[in-house]
Amino acid sequence: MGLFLSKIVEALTAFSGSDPARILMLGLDAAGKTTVLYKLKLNETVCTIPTIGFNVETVSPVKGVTFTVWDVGGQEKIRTLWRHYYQNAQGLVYVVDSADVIRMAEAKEELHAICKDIQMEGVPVVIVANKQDLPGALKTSEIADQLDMLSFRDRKWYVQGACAKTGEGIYEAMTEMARLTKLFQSKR
Amino acid sequence: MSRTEKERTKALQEKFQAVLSSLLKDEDNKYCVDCDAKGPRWASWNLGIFLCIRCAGIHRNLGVHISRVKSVNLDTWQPDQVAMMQEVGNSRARAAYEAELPDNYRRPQTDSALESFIRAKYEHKKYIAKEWVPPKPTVPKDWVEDDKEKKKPKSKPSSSSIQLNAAPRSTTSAKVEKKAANADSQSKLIEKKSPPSRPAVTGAAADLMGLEASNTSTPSSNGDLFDIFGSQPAGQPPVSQPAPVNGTNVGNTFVENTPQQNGSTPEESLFDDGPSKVTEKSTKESILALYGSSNNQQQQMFGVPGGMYMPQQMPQQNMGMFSGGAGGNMMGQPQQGMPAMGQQQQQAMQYGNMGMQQPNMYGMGQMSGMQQQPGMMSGNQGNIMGGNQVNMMAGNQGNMMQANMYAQQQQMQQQLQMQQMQQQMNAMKVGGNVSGMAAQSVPGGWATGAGSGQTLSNNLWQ
Repeated sequence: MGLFLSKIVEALTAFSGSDPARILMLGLDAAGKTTVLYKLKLNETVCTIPTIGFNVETVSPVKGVTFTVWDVGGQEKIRTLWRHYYQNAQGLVYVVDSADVIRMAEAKEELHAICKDIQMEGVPVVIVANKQDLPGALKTSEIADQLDMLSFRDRKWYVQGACAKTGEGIYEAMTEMARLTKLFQSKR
Repeated sequence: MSRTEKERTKALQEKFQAVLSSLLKDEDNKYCVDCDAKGPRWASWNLGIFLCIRCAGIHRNLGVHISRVKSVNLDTWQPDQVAMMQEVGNSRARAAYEAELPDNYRRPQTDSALESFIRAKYEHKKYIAKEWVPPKPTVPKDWVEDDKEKKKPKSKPSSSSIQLNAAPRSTTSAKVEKKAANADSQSKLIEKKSPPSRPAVTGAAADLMGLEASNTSTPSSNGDLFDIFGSQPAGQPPVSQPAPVNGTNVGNTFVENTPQQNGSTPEESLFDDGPSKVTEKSTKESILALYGSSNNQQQQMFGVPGGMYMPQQMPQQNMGMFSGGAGGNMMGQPQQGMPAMGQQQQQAMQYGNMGMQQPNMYGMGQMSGMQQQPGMMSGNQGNIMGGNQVNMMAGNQGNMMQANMYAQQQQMQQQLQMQQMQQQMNAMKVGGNVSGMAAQSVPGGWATGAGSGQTLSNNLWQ
């Protein structure tokens, strides 16, 4: 009986839950962050314009998972604003344009710069290797390689191939994010 | 990256910005190449065209193998990219990509129709001129050479190097003017030959001059200020950090040149004021006066950061306020952001996003144009509460920056700002809760000044 009650309590608390996890979505400009966000939110492919500033939405990409996703503009000169969103982030979704091979090094630099910040210590990272439908898109393994993911030792990470236009891969990425954020929260 | 290298790239970036803004003054580049919207601020550099933000969004959907989109103001540019913009431009691109377009063609205005038009135009190349071969622009040599020239004197920051630095800079301006005058290849030839000390300044070079203005005033207040600036890599957009050109020499150079300026009296007066020795005290007073005087909406909007904005808008009138000291430094920065501001205003209009947001926009201040944009844009993406929040965060950042800026001189004010900052920080922790921020649209942000700013920021966070 006691076990049964505690299970109910657990279920209830899990349901009403604490606040949705705060997920940061960053990446170079034109990576597809906003498209991913609104695909998750509305299940629609919206016609976006470059984000100057940010978008924030509460999304439930997978049953039982609720995220507050912050999608911050990625133009070079507004990347300096990213750090103001780091606080209390429980996960980082880093979106890359898999077809933009020549800017992959830049994507790597930015990713590592984010992860160096003390506020992002240990925060799990899910790479969304977006635009897999485009010609010349790099595979997830190549992207993991070019982003030098193996150098991350103090955090969990995952690379997911995706096409935000069709929605392929983004739910998988979010499922993985949910798993990693839970691990991250329980460690704290 | 070493400091000199940073300075070099900074100088180059300024140059590219100047080139791009002069290109945007070209009649055909004043309208979006695809939809004719006014005042494009985006570009596809591989196609060499200037775009509005909406078409930029559509171009990004095409993929990087077709179009590579960049913001004129929010991105840094490479020499080859700028050269491409110079080489092609909207009129040439139209001649090429719209050669087969019917004369009476009406450009679509709805999003989906526009997207199919753009896809037809660049992806399927439906209207392209058969003989069109995308040019391979040659990067003007001096975009690199100039750089090396500058490198030498910069290695020792003595007063003698200042003059050396000033010379190549005005060359840049000369170039800009040339380009503005005749935008074809002839100008390029002249450019390459232009002697290093050709004195001329144009409105197009406002960014450059803004920076220099900030430097001219540096020595009159406190040398350390410069260092404060230098040691703030993240809070500031890279371009707006002052280059090590300072001293009255620069100021004089420009003042002497004023006859050649094209309707850029505001800058002129900037330079007049820059070198004048203003005491610390008067600086403080003038800034406080600036805070105090913000009663009407206009001034509120421009409040602190407006210090930088107003000189352009209202030449001569308020100059006393900003001369020298920290004020001068502030001035330099935002000018960098000027084009962006203009754009925002436009966008504000476009999206009917006026009034409340705008004051906030300027209120955030300090960080120059791009920071101000966030409020705007997220607003126009239907995200008003988001908009507000960015304003707050940005305001917060502005606070920090300001606190830093005044650190040497403005103890009192700094304390005020620290208080504000703490409040905002605390509130920000609460801030994970989105709804808590939703109801805020207090106009003016905290730009209204240190005193009232505090209450305002309270309001913001309630």
